[in-house]
Amino acid sequence: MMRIWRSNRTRRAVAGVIAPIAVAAGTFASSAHAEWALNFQKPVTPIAHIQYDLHMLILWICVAIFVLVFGIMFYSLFAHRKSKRAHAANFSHSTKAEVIWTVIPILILIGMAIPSTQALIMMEDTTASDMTIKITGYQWKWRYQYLDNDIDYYSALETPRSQIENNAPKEEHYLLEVDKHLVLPVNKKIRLLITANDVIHAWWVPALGAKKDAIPGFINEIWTQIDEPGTYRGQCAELCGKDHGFMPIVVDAVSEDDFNAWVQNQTSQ
Amino acid sequence: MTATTADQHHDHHPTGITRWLFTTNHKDIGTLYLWFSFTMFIIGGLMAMIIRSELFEPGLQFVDPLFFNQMTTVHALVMIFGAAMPAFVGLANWQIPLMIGAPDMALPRLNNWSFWLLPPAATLLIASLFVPGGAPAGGWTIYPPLSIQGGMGVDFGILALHMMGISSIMGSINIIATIMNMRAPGMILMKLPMFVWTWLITAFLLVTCIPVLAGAITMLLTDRHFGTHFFDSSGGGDPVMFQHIFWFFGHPEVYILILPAFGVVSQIIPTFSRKPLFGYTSMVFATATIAFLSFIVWAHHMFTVGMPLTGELFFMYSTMLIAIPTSVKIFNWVSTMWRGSLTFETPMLYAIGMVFLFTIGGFSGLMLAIVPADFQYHDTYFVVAHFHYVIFGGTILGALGAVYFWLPKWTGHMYNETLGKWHFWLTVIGMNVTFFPQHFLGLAGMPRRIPDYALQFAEFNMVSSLGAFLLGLSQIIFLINVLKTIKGGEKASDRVWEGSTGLEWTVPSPAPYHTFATPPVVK
Amino acid sequence: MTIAAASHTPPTRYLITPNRSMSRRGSAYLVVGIAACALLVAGSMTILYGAWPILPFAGLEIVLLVFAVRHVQNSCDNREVIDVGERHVDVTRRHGDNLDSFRFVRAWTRIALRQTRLGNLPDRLEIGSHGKLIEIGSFLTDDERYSLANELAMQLGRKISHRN
Repeated sequence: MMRIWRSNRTRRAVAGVIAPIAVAAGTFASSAHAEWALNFQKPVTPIAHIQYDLHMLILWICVAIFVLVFGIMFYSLFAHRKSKRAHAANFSHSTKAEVIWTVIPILILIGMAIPSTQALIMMEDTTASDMTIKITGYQWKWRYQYLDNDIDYYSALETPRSQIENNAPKEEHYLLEVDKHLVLPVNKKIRLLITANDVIHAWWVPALGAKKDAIPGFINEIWTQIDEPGTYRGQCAELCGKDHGFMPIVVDAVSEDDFNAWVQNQTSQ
Repeated sequence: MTATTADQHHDHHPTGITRWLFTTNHKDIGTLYLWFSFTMFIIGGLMAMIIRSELFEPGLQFVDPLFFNQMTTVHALVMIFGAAMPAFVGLANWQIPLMIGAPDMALPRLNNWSFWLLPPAATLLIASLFVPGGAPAGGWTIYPPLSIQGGMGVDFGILALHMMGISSIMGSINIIATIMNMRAPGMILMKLPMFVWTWLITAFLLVTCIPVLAGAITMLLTDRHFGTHFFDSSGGGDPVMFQHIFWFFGHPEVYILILPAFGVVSQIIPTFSRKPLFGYTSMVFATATIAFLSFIVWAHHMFTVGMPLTGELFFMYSTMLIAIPTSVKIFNWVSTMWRGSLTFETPMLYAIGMVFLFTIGGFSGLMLAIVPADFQYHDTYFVVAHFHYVIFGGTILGALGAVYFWLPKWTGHMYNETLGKWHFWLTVIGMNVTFFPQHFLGLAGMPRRIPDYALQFAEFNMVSSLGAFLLGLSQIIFLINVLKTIKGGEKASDRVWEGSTGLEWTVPSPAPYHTFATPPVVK
Repeated sequence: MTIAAASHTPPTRYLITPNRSMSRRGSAYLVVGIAACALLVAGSMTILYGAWPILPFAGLEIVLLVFAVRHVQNSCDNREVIDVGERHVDVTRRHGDNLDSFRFVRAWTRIALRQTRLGNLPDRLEIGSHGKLIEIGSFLTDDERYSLANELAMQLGRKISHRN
């Protein structure tokens, strides 16, 4: 993960044209370092895990169908070209084939729908949460209110203008650093209430698998439960005006003791 | 037939600009639509070049974030309403009368109006870039409250959309009237060429959903200026309501863009396979089913707005259902090629490319339908990659294929096959290098519509930008090829292609033959 | 499209009528069907979301549709009659409510095909004499127009002039 932005990337960029081939070869696992990342960030919540698994399941089903159908098509392009076959066949329908290739997709879709439905029901269940945090989107920063602890602060981009305007070298977490992180305890079911004050935003942390629109006048809710301590970064996902690209989200997941200490520290200030 | 031009006097016809201004000839209007569409394609393409230049490297290099947002917004509006839709209306104008044996469109003057609304509309839209506050910058979806915040450019955009909507409605009514009323004797509906069928269904979608767009943007306008609170939650309104209404229009709109391309491909593949289209009836029903389903899937564009669980499940299932008629179409195309006698002229290359690339977009669409996973994909570059595979890989490749397919019929000259093949391969390579890496960017966590990005997205963005420049440049080949074909070139026969079938190639409709003593052979 | 020639020796009458593939009843069904869909959509948007401003647009569209379909139906009655006689050629055109009659001296009557657009095929057939040319066969397809031009040219014993 540790690296500093350098400007001469063209050579590697050209090499990247080959990257899709690597995908076909099946190197799909989220790579340890983020360069050329091909897939989801490493999931750290039950929701993100189930999303990852579903995503991979559907992806591989699609790849298999794709290879099969276009394998047949490319075989046909090769074997049935005019220089090899002067005369075309003349069939124009086959009820049997048409019924088969209508029924098989239906079965595959049912196979996809069942785990998706189960996952969705699990994800939408925000009951029995241990704590609640209210998140409010502003143009262009986030406000976090710990409703159980009376903690309330804003969190805005910390990357200096000089880096954005290319007058200073870009740091590792360029555009993904904020002044005050959202601090959450691990292994707790946390309910997040999400709303906005001006226009629509969306609160999104990929590793948490948490994304919900923040809509003025409405309160949306999601839940998360982080498995391992760490720092997880995300961004506003709904176009919210000029600085939409400059309102990141940083979540510090800490142990329960550390979290309690942090709450103590915040409330005593 | 030798020309014995005796006298030159008494030319009753307008010439020069007035000829084009007042023309009611479907071929003229078709030509106007196609050139208009190509112009918009270039303008929208230049905006895409600005976007990709800014995203070439992290940091802000060329434009400020607000202008970047204007570019993404106007690029989308120009491409959808200026380039893609008019391209197919132009093809419809040229081809539908020829394909159904009609002398012209049913309402030639209405046809003239529906075209001539477009240039002023496009001018308004592009002029909005130069007014105080700039062009609409809230995305082509113009979600309030953000679009309420914009300057007068948003009003320009709304007015332009209204005009384009009126144009579309007039065009679709004309197309419906033409297809229903002016078919040659013996051409029953179930004998219509697939391109005509897909356009009939598309026109139906247009007349059904354009009023919804018109209503939505009118409400936006009154919210902005006349004190209404349709979408303002502080005044008792509901911003999510706009999204529901917009996507109720927006999803059929997506199929308005793709269905005629399906039609084009269904004409091209049988021609170069020298074999009839496989499963004509199921093609027609699949198209109609897709059109019907497009009205009950709209909320899949807004899974993250916080719908009730039952709503999310309904829209997930209905969206997944679309895969069935779509896969029927793809299987039918592949079966049409199966055991055919295939050649690979440029139109066929485009048709095969379209089937292949559209299917990639279709599969990512299926992935997006899976709500739990969509929570990750939504509003990321994965979505950008998805709809560019569908719209560029499907709609634009379909339109380009159609131009190569019918250009000899329009101009009487063959296009240059070598240039055509170069154009195809560079376009397809450019398109894939541009949009395939965007899948990875989206999965890795890059949101869409951002002018600057974190460092881990740098590599694929650079690849994507390089691809975009290639894609943009290769369209010059297309322009050169078309201009060369108009000016001259090898004479095209009536049939043009060895495997061509259909009225437009054998043109005479059956009725008048026997009424004359001499056979009507005019060469 | 029908072009009916009564006989091939003078006087010969050509009757040109447009082809219409939809009956008046079919037109009515079409209008009612599309109007029902547009109103169903606009109505459900109004009921579901209170988006009543969609309704007037749907209404306007239906008005336009009714007008368009009626116009097309009325044009079913368009006729062009060309009588090639021993000495004169008479052309009678009825387009909508306009009824025009023209008489040309047969010996001077010319047939011209005019190219009015981009492309390789002339698309406008004109008949007339002494510099007064009128268009005929506007509701024919290109090939029918060619057939008619050939037929008339043969009848008149003249060549077709091609003009740009």
